[in-house]
Amino acid sequence: MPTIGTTQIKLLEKLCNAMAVSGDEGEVRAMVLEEIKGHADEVKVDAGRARQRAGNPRRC
Amino acid sequence: MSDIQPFLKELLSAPGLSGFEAPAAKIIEEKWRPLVHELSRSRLGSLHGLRKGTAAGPRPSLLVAAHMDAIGLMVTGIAEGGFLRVTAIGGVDARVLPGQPVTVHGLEDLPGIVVQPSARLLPSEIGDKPAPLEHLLVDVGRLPRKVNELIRVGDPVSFAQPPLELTGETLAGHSVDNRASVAALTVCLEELQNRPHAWDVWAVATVQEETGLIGAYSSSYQLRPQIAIVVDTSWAKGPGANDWNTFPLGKGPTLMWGPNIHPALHKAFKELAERLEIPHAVEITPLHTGTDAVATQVTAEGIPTIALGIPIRYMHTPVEVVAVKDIQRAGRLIAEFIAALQPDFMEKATWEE
Repeated sequence: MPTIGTTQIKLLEKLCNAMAVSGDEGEVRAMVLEEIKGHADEVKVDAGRARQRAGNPRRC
Repeated sequence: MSDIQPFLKELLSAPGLSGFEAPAAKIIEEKWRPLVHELSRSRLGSLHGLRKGTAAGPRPSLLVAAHMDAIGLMVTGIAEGGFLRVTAIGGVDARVLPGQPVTVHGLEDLPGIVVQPSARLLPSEIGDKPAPLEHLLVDVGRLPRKVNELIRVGDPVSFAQPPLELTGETLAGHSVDNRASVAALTVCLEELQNRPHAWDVWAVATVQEETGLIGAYSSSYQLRPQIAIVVDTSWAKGPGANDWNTFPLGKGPTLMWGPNIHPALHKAFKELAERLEIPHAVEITPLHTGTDAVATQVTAEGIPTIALGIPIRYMHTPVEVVAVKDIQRAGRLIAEFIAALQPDFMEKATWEE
C-alpha cells in the first residue's frame, strides 16, 4: 500500500492551490503532466476543449 | 451583398418543428443547392452542404452549423367539444400563446387558434395569472366528429403567425430562433461564391436542437471536421432584459466565450471582427452555451468549437424579433474567417493559458 507522507501532502497542497476553473485547467494539467512523466511511456491530452495538442510548443 | 430578407421570410413562414423539419429543410435545400458543390441529408434529416476547398487533399474541413428546427406544440388529447389539449415540443413560453394562430398537422393541415378558457373554468389558484400550457386548448373550429377523424394524439402543432416586417430592418416572427442563423449561413455561402477558401466547408442545418442538440451530435460525428462554428440566437436587450446576458439589437452578433469555446478560435474571430470593423459583442457563457456547440465540442475526440449568437428579443415566443443587419454581419464574419483560414491553422494555433 502506498503511504501518505510529506511528499504527498505537499503535492496535494500544490494541486489545491492551482488555478483550474472549468475550461481553464492549464495550470493543474501542467502539474499532473510533470508528476506522471516518469511513470508513463506516452502522455496525451485530448481535444476536450481542444486546448492541448501534441507538438504545441507552449505545452509541457 | 444580396438581400437575405425574402429568404428569411419564406423560411419563417414554414413549419418545421423538432423532429418534423421537412418543410423547412426543403426550402433551405432549394436555396443552398446552387451555393454548394454537394448537398445531402444525414440519417436524422440534417442538411449537409459541401463547398470544396482549394488546398491540396486531404484537406482539412470545418463545419458551420445552425439548427433549422423550431419549437412548437403537440396534441396530447381531444377534449369534449373537439378542443385539443397540447404539450410543448421544446421550451415554449406559454404566457404568450393565447390568441396565437397555429397549424395542426393532422391527416391534413388545419388552421387553429390557441385559446385560454375563461377564468371560471380554470382552477381558482390560477386567478388572473397566465394559464399554464396544460390548461390551454387549440380550437380548430370543427365539429368533434370531424376533429376525431382528422387529428390524432401526437400530431404536431406549429405556429402560423406570418413574419412581420417591422420598420428599421427588423423582423418579428416565430422560429427566428434559429432560422435567423440559417439565413446567416446562407449569407456566408453567398459570400464564399467569389472567395477562394483552402478548407472544405460543411454548411449544416441541424435537426432537433431544441430537444437535445440531436442533429449536431450525429452530423459532427459523421463529418468529423477539424473546427466547428455554431450559430444560434442570443438574448437582445429589451423590456426587463438588460443584464450582462443581453446584447443590443442591431449592434452585431455575439462571440461566445467560456468553457464551451476554443480559445484560439475565439481569439481569431475577435481579432478578425475588430480588423474588419464588424460590430460584435463578447457573450459570456460560463456554463455550456445551450447550443449545438455543446454537442460539437465533445463529439468524437473533441472538436475545437466556437459559437456566435444573433441577438433576438422575446426568445421562444411566436414573435421573436431580429435585426437583419446582425444576420448579415454574422454571415460575413464567418465567410471572412473561412476565406482567411490557412490549411495549418489548427497546428499553428496558440493561446494564453
